[in-house]
Amino acid sequence: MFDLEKAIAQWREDACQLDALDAESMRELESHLRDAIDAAIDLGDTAEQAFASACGEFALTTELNLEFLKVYPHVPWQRKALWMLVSYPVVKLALALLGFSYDLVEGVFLMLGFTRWIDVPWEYTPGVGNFLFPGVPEGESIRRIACPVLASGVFGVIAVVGVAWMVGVSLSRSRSRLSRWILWVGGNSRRLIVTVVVLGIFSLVDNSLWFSRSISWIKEYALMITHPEWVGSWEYYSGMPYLARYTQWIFMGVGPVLLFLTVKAWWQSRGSDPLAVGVLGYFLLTLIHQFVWTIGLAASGFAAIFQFPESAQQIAVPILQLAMFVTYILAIGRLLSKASRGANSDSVCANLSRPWLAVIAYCLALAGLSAIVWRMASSGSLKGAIGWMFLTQYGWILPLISSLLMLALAIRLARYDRHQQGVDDRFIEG
Amino acid sequence: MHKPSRELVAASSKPLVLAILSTGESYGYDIIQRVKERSGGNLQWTDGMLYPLLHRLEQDGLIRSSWKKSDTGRERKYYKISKAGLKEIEAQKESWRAVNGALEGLWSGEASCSI
Repeated sequence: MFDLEKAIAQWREDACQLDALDAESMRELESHLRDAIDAAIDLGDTAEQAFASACGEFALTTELNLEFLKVYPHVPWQRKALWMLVSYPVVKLALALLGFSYDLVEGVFLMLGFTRWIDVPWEYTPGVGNFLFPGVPEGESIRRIACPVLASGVFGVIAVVGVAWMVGVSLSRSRSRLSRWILWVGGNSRRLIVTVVVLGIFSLVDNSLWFSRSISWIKEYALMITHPEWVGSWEYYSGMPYLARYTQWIFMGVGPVLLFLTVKAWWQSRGSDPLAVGVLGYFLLTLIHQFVWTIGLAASGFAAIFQFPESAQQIAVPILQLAMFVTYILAIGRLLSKASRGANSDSVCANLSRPWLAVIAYCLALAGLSAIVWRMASSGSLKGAIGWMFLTQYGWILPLISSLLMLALAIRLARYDRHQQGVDDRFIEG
Repeated sequence: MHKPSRELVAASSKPLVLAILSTGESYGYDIIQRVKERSGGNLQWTDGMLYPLLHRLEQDGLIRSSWKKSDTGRERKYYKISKAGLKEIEAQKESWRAVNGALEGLWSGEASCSI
C-alpha cells in the first residue's frame, strides 16, 4: 500500500543529491510539494496520484540545482567543509573504539585462561635504548609471546582490514549505506546537535591524559587478577611491539589504498558523496596536524640555534600561544555569530560559513602548543620543568575549551533551528 | 494564443512576483497559482524555479521572508515586499511601459502601412 510519508522521505533523499540546496531551501521545497499534494487530493486524486502529479510539476533537475547555485554558490563548499570537519572526530572515535576492542580481546583471553606462551619463529634482540621495547635488558631476545597478546594482535589486523574493506566497498558504491547514514544525520538539526554533543564529549575524553592512561584498564585489571607476576614484565609487554614489526606493513598499506579509493570516489561523484568528502577531510586534517607539529619543532629548533635568551622564550612563547588561542576562539565566535545574520541564517551550514578561518587559527594554535611543549620538555630548567608540569597536569584545559565551543555550537543550532524542528514534527505528525 | 517564450517568461518573472507581493504577503505555491490564474495558464513556471528567484530578490533586499503557521497548522515561508521592492516596482513599471509603448507604436504603424 502506498505510504505518502515514505514517498516524501524518498523525495527528500533525492533532493539531498542537489548540493546547492541548504537545509532551509529543502524545507521550503518540501512545504511546496505538500501544498501541491493537498491541492490534488482536494480535487479528488488518491495520495499516490497526487504525489506523482506534484513530483511531475516539481522536477529535481540539475537545472534547478544550477539556479540555486547562482544564488548560493558557497553552499556546496559549506556542506563539504561540514562533512570534513565532523569526519575528523568521527574517525578518531572509531579508531579509539577499535583500540579499546584490542584490549578487550586481550582481557577476555586472560580471564578465560588462554595464557600459554607461544614460541616465535624469528627471535629478535631489540637492544638497549630501543624506545619501542622499553625495559628489555641488554642482550635479551624476544623468543616467545603470550597467547592473549597474539590474539589481540591478530584481532587488530582483522579488525583494521575489515573496517578498511567496509569503507573501501562503500566508497566504490555511488550511494552506499554509510553515505546515506551521513546524509540522514545531517538532514535533521536534532540529530546533528546530538552528534555534535557526543563528539564534543569524546573530544574532551580523548584528549585528556586520564583517558590515555586508563584506556587499557580492562587489560591491566585482567592481568592483575589472573597473572599479577606479568604486570610490568618486559617479556609480556614486548609481545605487541614485536608483532607490530610484522603487521605495521599491513596498516601502512591500508592508508594509501583508502586514500586512492577516496580520491577516486570524490572524482566520480564530483565531490557530492559525503563519505568520500568526509574521509578525505580526515586525511587532510591529519596531514595538517603532522605539518603543524613539524612547524612547531622547527620553530623551537630556530630558537635554540639563534640562542635566544631563555627568559625571553619563556615569556614570548606563552604570549604567542595565548594570542593563537584568542584567534581561534574569535574565529569560532565569528562562525557562530554568522548564523544569526543574512537571509539564510537558519541553515545548519551557515554556522560554518568561514571554515578556513577556523582551520588556520587551529593550525596556529597547534603550532604554538607544539613549540612550547618541545621547548619546555627539552630545556630542563626549573622554569621549563614548571611549564612542562603545567601542561601535563592541566592538559585538560585545551580540550575543555574546544568541548565548550562544540557545546556552544550545539546550543546555537538548537536555538536557530527550533522552529524548523517544529516544521519537522508537524510533517511527521501530519 | 501563442505561449510566451522561455526568455520572456524569465524576464517577466521578477515584476510579476513583485506585483503579486505588493498586494499582500504570500508563499511560493500560492504565487505560482496566482500567476497561472492571472495569465489564463499562458505563463507556465516550473514550480522549483520560483524559489531561486524569491531567494535572489530577498538577497537584493526587495522582499523579506518569515516562517509562519498556516491555517492547516503547517509552517510555511511567507514573503512580503519591502520599501525597496515598492520602489523597484515603479522602476519596472516604467521600463515595461516603455517597451510596451515602443512595440505598440511599431505594430500600430505596421498595421496602418499595410492598410
